[in-house]
Amino acid sequence: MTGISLHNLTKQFDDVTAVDSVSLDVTEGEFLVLVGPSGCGKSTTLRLCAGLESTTEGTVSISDRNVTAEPASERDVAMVFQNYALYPHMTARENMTFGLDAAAGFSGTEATERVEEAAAILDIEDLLDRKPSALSGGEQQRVAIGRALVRDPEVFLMDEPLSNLDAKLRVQMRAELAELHAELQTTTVYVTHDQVEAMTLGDRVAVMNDGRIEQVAPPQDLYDAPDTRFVAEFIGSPGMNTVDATLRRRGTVSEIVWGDNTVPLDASPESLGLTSGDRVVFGVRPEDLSADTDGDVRMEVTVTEPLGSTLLVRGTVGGHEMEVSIQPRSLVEVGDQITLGVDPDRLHLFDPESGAAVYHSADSREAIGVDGDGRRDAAVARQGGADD
Amino acid sequence: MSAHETAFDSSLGAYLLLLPTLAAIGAFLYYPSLQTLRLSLYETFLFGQNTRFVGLGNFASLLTSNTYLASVGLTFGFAAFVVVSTLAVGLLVAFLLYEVTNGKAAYLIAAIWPYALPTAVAGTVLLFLAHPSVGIYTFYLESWFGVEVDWFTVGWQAFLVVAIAAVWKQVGYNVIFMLAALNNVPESLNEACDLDGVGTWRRLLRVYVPLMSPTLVFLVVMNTIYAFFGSFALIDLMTQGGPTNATNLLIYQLYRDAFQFNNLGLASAESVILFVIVAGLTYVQLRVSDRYAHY
Repeated sequence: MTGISLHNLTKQFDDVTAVDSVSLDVTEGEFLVLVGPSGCGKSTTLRLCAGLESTTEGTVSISDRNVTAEPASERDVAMVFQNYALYPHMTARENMTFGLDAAAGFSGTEATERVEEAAAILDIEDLLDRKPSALSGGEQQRVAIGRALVRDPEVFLMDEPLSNLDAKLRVQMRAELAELHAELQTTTVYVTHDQVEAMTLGDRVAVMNDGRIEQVAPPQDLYDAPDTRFVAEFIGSPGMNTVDATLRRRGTVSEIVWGDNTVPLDASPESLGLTSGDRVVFGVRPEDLSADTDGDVRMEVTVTEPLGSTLLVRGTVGGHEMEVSIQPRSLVEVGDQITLGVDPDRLHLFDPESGAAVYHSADSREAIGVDGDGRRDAAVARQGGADD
Repeated sequence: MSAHETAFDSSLGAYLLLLPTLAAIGAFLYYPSLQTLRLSLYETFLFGQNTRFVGLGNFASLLTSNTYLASVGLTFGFAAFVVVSTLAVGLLVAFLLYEVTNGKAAYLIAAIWPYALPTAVAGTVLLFLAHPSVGIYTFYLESWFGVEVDWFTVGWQAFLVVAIAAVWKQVGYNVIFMLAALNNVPESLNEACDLDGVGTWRRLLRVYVPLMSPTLVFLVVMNTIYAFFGSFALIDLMTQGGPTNATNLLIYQLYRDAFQFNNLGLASAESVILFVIVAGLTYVQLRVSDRYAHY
């Protein structure tokens, strides 16, 4: 049974297509995160699920029931808003019960029990008689989540619920949300622009760009085997380095070449459906590069960013900006020339025109192999998990 | 503070700049007020040319006059009707304007147009529309509901006609403020209501009205002041306080005492009483609303 299912969902605002035929199945009990840059259509997709926007085309089904034409209140969903959307003149308790009063067939005692229950889960029992203005941001967010909980909906929809919290609280609430989901197992669709939030919370993560879903996969798969150049650059902190390069074959050796730099490739261009001399986009994550005196890749350092656990070094390699994450306390300074080694198991190639993944080396290859090839139509999301 | 000191190295310059305002307020507000207060203690003859000090005599005769006390009661009734009806009708109209999507501007203009009309014009127009013998409203009221409309001679009808006219005139003002307040309700609260399945009227009364409460308090005060002072033109044009004092509000009684009976001392005393009543009401309203309004 599916929790929520979108089929060719499209939303146009005048001449802007905010959501462009998105298809997605969220299984019951799953925590699915929609992530993408501002304006990619992730919030609109969520609002289409909630019924706060009307669909231009396509269908929304919740628990195998087509709800496309139904008003928000009939869809059995609860939503948590970025700005909490608490009624400022009501106490926390009233905020939580107001929706229940509205729904038919709720006795006062049942509502009270539900509120007590939700308050206990969220640890806000002492705050129930306070108004939102007397609560901190984190407490308001708990009340907002509590309001969603008491409705016991089929699906939780969360629209950047942690964005208004300060960094420390955000990390704490993130963990609590994960815990909450593990406990309740309610189907959840969660929108965020923060890829760390997406990776840590999602059973699966859908990366959206320009109204379309680029890839839906479990977080580690997204990181290891991005379907497209966009996903590769978006996921990861910082994202993957991508450079325009050329494939070359010298005898039995294949290599990726840009500027004076070469990286050996343990697959022939032909095995990838390419020929020697073809242009490709070479991708490698900053974490998969290392300072190596024997390395073939030379970088001129322009910026160093000590992050404590690692030292992030930015520089130019063969005319391209690249970042590399190396040992902290390394003696690297701006203007230095350093040589880098590349982890041969962590190479990625993308088509320069379509941006689709052509190749993921070594342990990435396994994940791709399951799907048949790496060039899946990025616009059509995967139905189900990566391991099916 | 140092910034202030460099801007005005002596306070003289500041006072100089304030002078025009102070002079205008002094000449046209404070001086007449003080004169009124002084005059209320005198008996006056010949348009105030000759005066005789009577102390609180004017107040004593007013507060023992049955006509005046009846006018006080009438005015409170009138104010209550106008304030409550204006708020209720205004809220309904503002809410409908808020909800409507097509032709919003046209409806808005229609709703606030009476407010833009000069009271004298409004009074004259209404006088004809509701005229007991030739008014078009009167004709339909009589033919549809079978009521005998004769507010030139029936007191309560005259009271109702003037009160409704006053409400009609003031609703536009209320609608403007209420609509502004409604538009300030965060969109996400509307969406939370959509998701919660909160019905239209429940939403209005339980969500919008509390959120609009600061505006509503302001409007209660403004409507009260309007009901006590602003209805003069309508009464003068439509009923002249009649029939048999049925619409003889304090402000009209004051006008008659001052300019028809030339009793400026008595009228000044009435002015002071009216001022005390309105100031007192405003104070009470603000104090009470502090407890209920959500700022």
